[in-house]
Amino acid sequence: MEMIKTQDLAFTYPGAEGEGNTRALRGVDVEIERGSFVVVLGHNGSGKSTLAKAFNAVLLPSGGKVYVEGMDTSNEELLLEIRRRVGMVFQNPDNQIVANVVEEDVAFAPENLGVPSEEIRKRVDDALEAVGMSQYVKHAPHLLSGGQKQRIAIAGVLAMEPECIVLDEATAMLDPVGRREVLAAVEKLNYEQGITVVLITHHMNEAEHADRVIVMNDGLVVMDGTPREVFTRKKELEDIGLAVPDTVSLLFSLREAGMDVPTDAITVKECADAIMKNFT
Amino acid sequence: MEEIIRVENLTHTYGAGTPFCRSAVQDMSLDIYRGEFLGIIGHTGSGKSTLIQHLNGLLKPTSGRILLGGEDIWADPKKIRDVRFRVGLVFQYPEYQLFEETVYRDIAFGPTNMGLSKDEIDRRVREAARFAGLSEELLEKSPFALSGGQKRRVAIAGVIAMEPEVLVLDEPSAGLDPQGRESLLANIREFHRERGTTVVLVSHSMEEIAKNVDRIVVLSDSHVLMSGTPREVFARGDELMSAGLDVPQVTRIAMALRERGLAISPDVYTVEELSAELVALKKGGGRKC
Amino acid sequence: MLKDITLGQYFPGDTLAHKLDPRTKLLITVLYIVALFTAKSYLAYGILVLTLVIAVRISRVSVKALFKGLKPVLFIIAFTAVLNLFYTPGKEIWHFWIFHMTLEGVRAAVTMMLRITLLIMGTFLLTYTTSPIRLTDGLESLLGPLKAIKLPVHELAMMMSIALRFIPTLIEETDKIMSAQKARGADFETGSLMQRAKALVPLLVPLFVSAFRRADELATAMECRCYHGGEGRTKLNVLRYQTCDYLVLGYYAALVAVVIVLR
Repeated sequence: MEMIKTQDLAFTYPGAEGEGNTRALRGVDVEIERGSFVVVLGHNGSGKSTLAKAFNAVLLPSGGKVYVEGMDTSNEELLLEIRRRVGMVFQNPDNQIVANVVEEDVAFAPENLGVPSEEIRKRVDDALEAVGMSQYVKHAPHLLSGGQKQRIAIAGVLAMEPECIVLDEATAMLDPVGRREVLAAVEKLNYEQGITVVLITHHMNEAEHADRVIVMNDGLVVMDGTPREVFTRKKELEDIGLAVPDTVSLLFSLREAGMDVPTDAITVKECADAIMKNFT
Repeated sequence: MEEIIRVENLTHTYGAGTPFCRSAVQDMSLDIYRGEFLGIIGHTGSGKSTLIQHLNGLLKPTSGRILLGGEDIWADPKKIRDVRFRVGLVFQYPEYQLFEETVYRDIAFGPTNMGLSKDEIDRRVREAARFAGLSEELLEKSPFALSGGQKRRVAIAGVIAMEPEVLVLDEPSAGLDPQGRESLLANIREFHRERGTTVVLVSHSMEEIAKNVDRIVVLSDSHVLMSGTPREVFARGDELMSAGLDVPQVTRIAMALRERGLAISPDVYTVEELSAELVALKKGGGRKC
Repeated sequence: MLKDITLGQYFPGDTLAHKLDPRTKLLITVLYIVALFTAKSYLAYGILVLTLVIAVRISRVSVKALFKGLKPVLFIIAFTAVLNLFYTPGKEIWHFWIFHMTLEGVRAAVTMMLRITLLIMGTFLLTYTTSPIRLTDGLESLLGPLKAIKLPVHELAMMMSIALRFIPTLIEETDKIMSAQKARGADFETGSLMQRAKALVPLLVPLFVSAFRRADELATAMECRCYHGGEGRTKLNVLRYQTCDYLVLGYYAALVAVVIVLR
């Protein structure tokens, strides 16, 4: 069974007085496989964040359905279980932190779930270790860097023992170092523990190691494939306001000049290797 | 070129005398030339934010001087507010400082504080809105009804409206998507071109800096690491990377190609240049070094 | 000045004071305050001061931090002292124009100053050695029985702990907004009281707007972590009284008794 499945999902935000409603999602059908690492790309306003919030019932569909491991998100009785299975990390690192001490913040979710004390202790320690923040267990979270705060937020979600973690533009407010830390942490969780990861972002380079890239525009899915497949569609991506990595731009430019290079060598290493083949 | 701002041996120590004492900036000296478009790069903790808050007198040096147009800005501490009208500073995520009932009034805040006439304020507000890419009809709306990107432009317009001699922008495109970023930077470039105002762009993004500025100053660990044209700075890619800084992806590709034996010039930093060099090399028979 | 507001600040540590159950600390603070306000004899005050000194030594909180906590209320202390000094009836020892200072006045002023100082220091000792979540856990537990009369104890405790957690964050934000508005020529320092009050608008509006946004985002984040009120919640650190708690409680109970006897 898929981790998450949407059927003709539509969502409309009610507009302010005198203004029309905003149709953020206009009929989206996606299936997220268990254990996969999916990146959802799109410019601001493409509906990618709305899609993420529909995955764990923060937003309920205006039309269509969302199923988490077969459970309908509009079913109130299943709400807690759905949210336990699909955890979410948000954009603003500060506005997710509930406590003054890291361990207490990470313990928040299991406490809500009524997990016994000794078990909570274990989960907190395991979660902090999984994100590489064990030495900060008694630290004050508001004194940490952005990347560290987001890793605490991830640990807080891990403590619920979720099947899937959705990161809703969780790297948008971070500096390059913080972004790398967060990406490394979730890539590790996906690889080592098989946790499904859905990463919402507008930074193309964060999709380099993904299994699958879904590109959204104007409330619809416009592309869905491997990073390699998606990144080579340079013109289409640029038309909807996204930028391909410079590696791809370079390869396209060389192609146009007549060189025989693939257009899907997206990492620096692959790109360099591909170019070198023309010089040996 | 003459300097418009000179930072002389600036040191700023936070919490002197307490156990939390630390020097965010240590003996830093740099010049900003009139009319240039300068980029300042540095990782978090390099002293970037501290430095820029000295440029408009929000922070006072623990030692060292800041000279604006040749004069020490702290010569008369009571007049420090005037410095802030001459050196405009736009903070990160400036949209969080909007407060007025209409966009017009928020942009007018700075000029009003300067004590200008109504007509002058009106002229400045409209022109600033134009430079920031805001349409006239937005002027009468509440800033809180705008999108994030528009709010940011309002905040930037609010500083431009003071018609400062130097405009300092701290990560103006932070959090914007690629299209939003391109658009905003185009507006800033246009502003620089039309007005001739000295612009200082502080950023993490190497690509952003590379495409826009005349000159770069690199900060690391509360010191100036190096300065020069983008070409000069990115040619020293190895040094930048050892200092924990990023280089543009193109520079990294060029470095990777050089490692594999291809004779690529060390100061290539745009896709067009690298592409042209590779094509030329291929035509020339694929020379290896 | 903003950085001087150390309310909500917690200094982690490993001392006896940190290890005590927060309920114990809350109760002994209350007992201490009761003793403070019933004390009459010099001996009693002496014991109270000594108790505080011992408590400070045990908790290893810096004395500097404690005095810093007094800064915001210095004015109130001085004001109260002056009031007591000149308006207590009794045997006059000095006068100037319409102000009459009496012996009783001096005694009352000194007593008042001492009480307020010890009160504030004692309370700050509580918050310095107990993390806000532990404090509210303790409060929630002590007030638990009031649930029977429909008092929303859990909700109040949650509100308190979140408020305390956000104080440093909001202070940081206030600083940022102030800097941003100063960069546009805002002046928070000069001018008449009216002018300075008006000058606060560019500070308070963004702060309020931001606070509401934070609250909204935090609430969503909490719900995504399965928060659904106080029903069925467990705790990472369960509150358990230990021997040291009983001993300390006993000491403070005795303290109150002694103070009463010494009247």
